[in-house]
Amino acid sequence: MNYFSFDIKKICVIALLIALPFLAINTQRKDGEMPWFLVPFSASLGVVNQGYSEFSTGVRRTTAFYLNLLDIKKINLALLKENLELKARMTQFEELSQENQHLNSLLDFKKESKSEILIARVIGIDINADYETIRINKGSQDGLKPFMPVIAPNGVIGYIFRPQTHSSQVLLLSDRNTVVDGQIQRTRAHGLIEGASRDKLRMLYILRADDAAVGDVVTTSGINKIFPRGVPIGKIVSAERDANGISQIIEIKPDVNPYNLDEVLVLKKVAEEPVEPSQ
Amino acid sequence: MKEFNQTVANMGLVYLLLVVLCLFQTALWFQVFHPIPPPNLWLPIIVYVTIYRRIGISLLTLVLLGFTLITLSSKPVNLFFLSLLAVALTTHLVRMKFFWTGSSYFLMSCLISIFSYHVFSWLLSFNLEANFLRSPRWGAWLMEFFLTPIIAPLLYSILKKIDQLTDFQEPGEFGFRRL
Repeated sequence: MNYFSFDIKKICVIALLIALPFLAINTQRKDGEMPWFLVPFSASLGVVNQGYSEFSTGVRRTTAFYLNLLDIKKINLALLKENLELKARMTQFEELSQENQHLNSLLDFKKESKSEILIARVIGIDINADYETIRINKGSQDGLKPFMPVIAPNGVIGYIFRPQTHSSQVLLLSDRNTVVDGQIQRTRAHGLIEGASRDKLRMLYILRADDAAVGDVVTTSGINKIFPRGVPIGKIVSAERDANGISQIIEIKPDVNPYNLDEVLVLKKVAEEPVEPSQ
Repeated sequence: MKEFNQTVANMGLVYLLLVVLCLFQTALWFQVFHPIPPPNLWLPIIVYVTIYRRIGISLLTLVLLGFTLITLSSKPVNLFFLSLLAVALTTHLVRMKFFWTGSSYFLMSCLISIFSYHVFSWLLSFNLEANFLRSPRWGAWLMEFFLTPIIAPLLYSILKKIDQLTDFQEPGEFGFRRL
């Protein structure tokens, strides 16, 4: 028997078996610290784990994206419907808001004015295109009489032309048969204002020497006793001196378009004080 | 007596139609379609009574309808009636010159009447009004010219229905057999 011949493999196995319990006993778990021999394993595991995580996330997202695509048409339609409903509500809300604002301004004007005022609704227009009248829903039954002034909070509209029992015709300032006495607010120059077209008035009999410039505000003078003094009519858009005559040719753009109004104010009894236009 | 009743009933229904159409033109159209100028809805009725009625009844209806129309406009009464008479005369003259039955003739007459109404209105205004029509609303005139013929066939069928209901006879190419 050869005592000096060793089986290296057996010795290694026996040594490992003896060493393992000692290793297990000595390697105590310490929080926050990774044992040196686990670091390479952990690193390689971490890389794989990260890759796997990214891959699975990608797969999940792609799957979810395709699944969502199936429902997207339905959701889109529902959203479109909802959007339309909201838009309709918004329009309705804006309409109500504007009406409310307009009615409030009418009420404010009525409170501030010392004249006796009647609010009337515009219900129709003239049957002939070349004649400028509107029809309001108040008539002789409500105490309306011919030549009562009709105004809006921001300017002159016209006057009562033909009152009937339940409605009245209002001859507009833009009608060629309407004549109103007016004055240029800045210079106090007087003249007669007559209708030329829907968006243009003419101021007549303003002397050449009178000062009139583009942009000047023209108001009622109160002389003809129809309108109170100081109600805005419009702004001068052109003022030319007649080459041979003694007057000027002045064109005015009216402040109010009566065809865009829902309500107008009829001054049943005109106060002596000038009417202050509301903004 | 029966003829009289028929005439009264017919005129009453035509009058009612005119009122409805006038209110549609001046109130409903204005509320809904403003600022698009409305079609002229009353002129086709004037044209219809001029074409399809004897001259006496035609004039009587014209006066009745004219009084209604005056209340809806600021146009002077004399000018309005002269314009209406001018339109009726033009339509009548055309009818004497040539006539055929059916809605196409009515449509053509409506076109002529719209043109003649505006031309006569302008001429009369120029001659009779101190402050005459200097700047006509061409846009509104054109819209009337294009929109009214679209509505004319519908009005023709309604007026024919009224005639049938009241037993009125449409004139043939050789004139009226009755009424």
